[in-house]
Amino acid sequence: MRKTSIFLFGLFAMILVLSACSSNDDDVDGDGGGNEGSEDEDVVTLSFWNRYPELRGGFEQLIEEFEAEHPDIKIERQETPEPETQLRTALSEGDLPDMWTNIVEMSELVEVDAVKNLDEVFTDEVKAQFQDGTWYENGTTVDGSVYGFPLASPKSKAMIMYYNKDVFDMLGLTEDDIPETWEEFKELGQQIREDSNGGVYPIVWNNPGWANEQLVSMMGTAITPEVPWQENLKEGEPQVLTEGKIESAKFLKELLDEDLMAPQSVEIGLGEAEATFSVGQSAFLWSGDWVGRQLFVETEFENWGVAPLPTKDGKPYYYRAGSEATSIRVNNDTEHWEEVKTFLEYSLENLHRIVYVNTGAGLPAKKDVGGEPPFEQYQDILELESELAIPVPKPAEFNPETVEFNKAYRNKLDVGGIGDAVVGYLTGNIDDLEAEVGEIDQAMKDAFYETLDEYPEVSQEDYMYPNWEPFEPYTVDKYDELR
Amino acid sequence: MAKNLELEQKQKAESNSNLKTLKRKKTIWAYIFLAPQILVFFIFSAYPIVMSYVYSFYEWTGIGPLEDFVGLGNYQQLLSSPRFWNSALISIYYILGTTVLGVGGALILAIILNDQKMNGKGFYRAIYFLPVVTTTAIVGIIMGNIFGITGFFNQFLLNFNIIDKPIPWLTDPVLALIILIVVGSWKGLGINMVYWLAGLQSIPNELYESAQLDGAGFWSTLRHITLPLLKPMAAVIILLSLVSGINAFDLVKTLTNGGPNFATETMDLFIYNYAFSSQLGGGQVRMGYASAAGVLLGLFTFVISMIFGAASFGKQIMKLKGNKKSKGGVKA
Repeated sequence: MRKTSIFLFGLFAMILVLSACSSNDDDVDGDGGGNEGSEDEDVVTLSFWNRYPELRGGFEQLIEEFEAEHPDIKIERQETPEPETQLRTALSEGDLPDMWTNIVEMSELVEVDAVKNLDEVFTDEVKAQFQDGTWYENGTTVDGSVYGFPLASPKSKAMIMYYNKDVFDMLGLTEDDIPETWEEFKELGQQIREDSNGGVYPIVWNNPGWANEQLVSMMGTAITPEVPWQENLKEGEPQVLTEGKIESAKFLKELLDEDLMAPQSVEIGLGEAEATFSVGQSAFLWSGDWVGRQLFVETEFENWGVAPLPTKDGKPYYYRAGSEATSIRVNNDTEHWEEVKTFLEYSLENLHRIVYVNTGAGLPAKKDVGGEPPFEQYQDILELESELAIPVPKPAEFNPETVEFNKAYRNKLDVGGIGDAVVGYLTGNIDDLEAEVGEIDQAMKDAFYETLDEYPEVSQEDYMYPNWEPFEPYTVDKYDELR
Repeated sequence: MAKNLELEQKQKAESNSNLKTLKRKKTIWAYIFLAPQILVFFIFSAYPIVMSYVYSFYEWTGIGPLEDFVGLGNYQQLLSSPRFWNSALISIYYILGTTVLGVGGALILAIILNDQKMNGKGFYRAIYFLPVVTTTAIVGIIMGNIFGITGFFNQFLLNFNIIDKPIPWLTDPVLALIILIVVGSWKGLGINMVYWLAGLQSIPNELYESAQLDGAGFWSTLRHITLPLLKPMAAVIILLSLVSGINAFDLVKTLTNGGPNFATETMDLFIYNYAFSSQLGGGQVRMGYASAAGVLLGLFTFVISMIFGAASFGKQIMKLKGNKKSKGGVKA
């Protein structure tokens, strides 16, 4: 018994010693904390998390070229399928990567000193090389300082309509047949169903709440242009119950009920919708600018074109430019700032060309970057996006206090938007969409006014822009007119 | 004689002391072996539970210090939230549905597979146990494909002209919940079957033989011998099924993601959505609010367990107490 005890104790001690040794080894490799490391003493490894699937290939190429030019720096890229969860966990454990593509609101990260100030890299001269509207509060800057390396152009992410040229050829359709109004879309849709003997649907759509809210909001601006998203920027209050959104949602429902929308649309994601479109089961697909690259690379489908979304009367629609600041953020506690800076400086010269233009993954934030788009439709997408993504007033630009106010106001909400209600309406779960959206609208207004009382530094005027005309770009000097 | 007695007492004392030393040693070793588990329990279970109570009193996004103390604000907001109550109701439907279907179905299967004369019992038991060892998320994705509008099940029904239009199994709120319950029950069928089999095999064969001699048939044997003797086991199985029904997150997330319009959002998915939601146009990340919901879910689980425990084991405990008292009375 005693011998056994001694043996077990000895074994336990040995395991402890061995595991301690192995930890030491890890530390040598991992440089402590697991964020950075070096394969040998001369090579510094930087960790980088990417959340955008469409940028994977581009980043791979960029990193390969960067490493070839800088053999002393290695970049370990990791894809983050659950970016928010992963980043928040890493943050709470003090285990952030050296760099990551935007996850978590900028102001929140700056508040806890998690992100590095990049003013050193982005001088005024460098900033001028970027598209108008790139630099804005709580997007790429906080209190006027730069905290994000801008990736995509603020004039992007507007939804457009992709059409399948194979289907067009098969059914004898030409570009002149591309519908501009809802009525034309339905008429063409019926023709497509008949001519294809039910084999092709006019449209395939997808079911995430955010996509549905984006679509009805964008289509809705052709009817209610003063509400680009969830606020009426003329009245200065939240508004989701608009004629534009409701009518757009009803149009989707009609398409589904009249068998003009692929029935699986209400239960599939964007990837499956792209696949359905690529194999010719649908003539049209509504999505963002990044889908061009997805079609070209992921589904290897090249025979498509782009056009604006159809609207109720064929009137133009728009998207609020710069609503999502796609950017790279840097860990404030990185142990390798010099190496990170080298990478950012290299990226300033090369990233937008390699990651965006050469792959066709989207439109770059930097102007005149050159490069060769892999598919001819890239230029068409660029033109459409420039036309459709229009800067609108941003309360955070006018009064930075609205950033905190917005968080507090939105925390009072049970539901963050109308996307799920639209999906519920499409699936038959909600009969009276107006009543449902009306409830959300009222809850938003109540929460907004209640929060206004709690934040004396914010007023309703911060959300009211009498000098704004929808469809006209709202420029920085216009804020000054109101001050 | 006295010397012998003294020697005997001394030997006894020595052996007692040896026994005590041995016992102490054993206890020390027991604690040494228990220590890692206790440590893991405190770090990964007790600490997060305690902290979730703390977080629930703050408005906190999970980043930065806990500064915004809101007292019972999160609880008040939760209790007045229709979405929270909806998720609680969905959880109750799911728990009851999976318990009735899963436990009942497993009992029938166990009785069939416990038949001494049946061939290939091992094979069938393995087949029914297979879903238990399959990753729930994978089950959710595969079932999503099967029950999708263009999925296998609809194609099958269409091909045999049973329906003329695909049924929206996963997008109709009622059907989606039914599918969730059916799949959840099927997933847990194997483990419940094993529990029932263990119970069935603990019933002495002699009882069945005597019943047979008395001319009892299958149904009367089932009614008067099998089911009454399975009662204590049934209580445990039902309790386990109720508690496991509360953790439906992975299946719901992958099969319906709580949709359409929150119609299948269970409480654990509700918590996840508030703790980690990052969808465009969606809600904000609210770790404090999600923690408050987690605390309520914990209390809900505790209450269910206590009610069911009291209902199932109350009588037995009372009986045991009664026995002790009566034994005490005899002694006196």
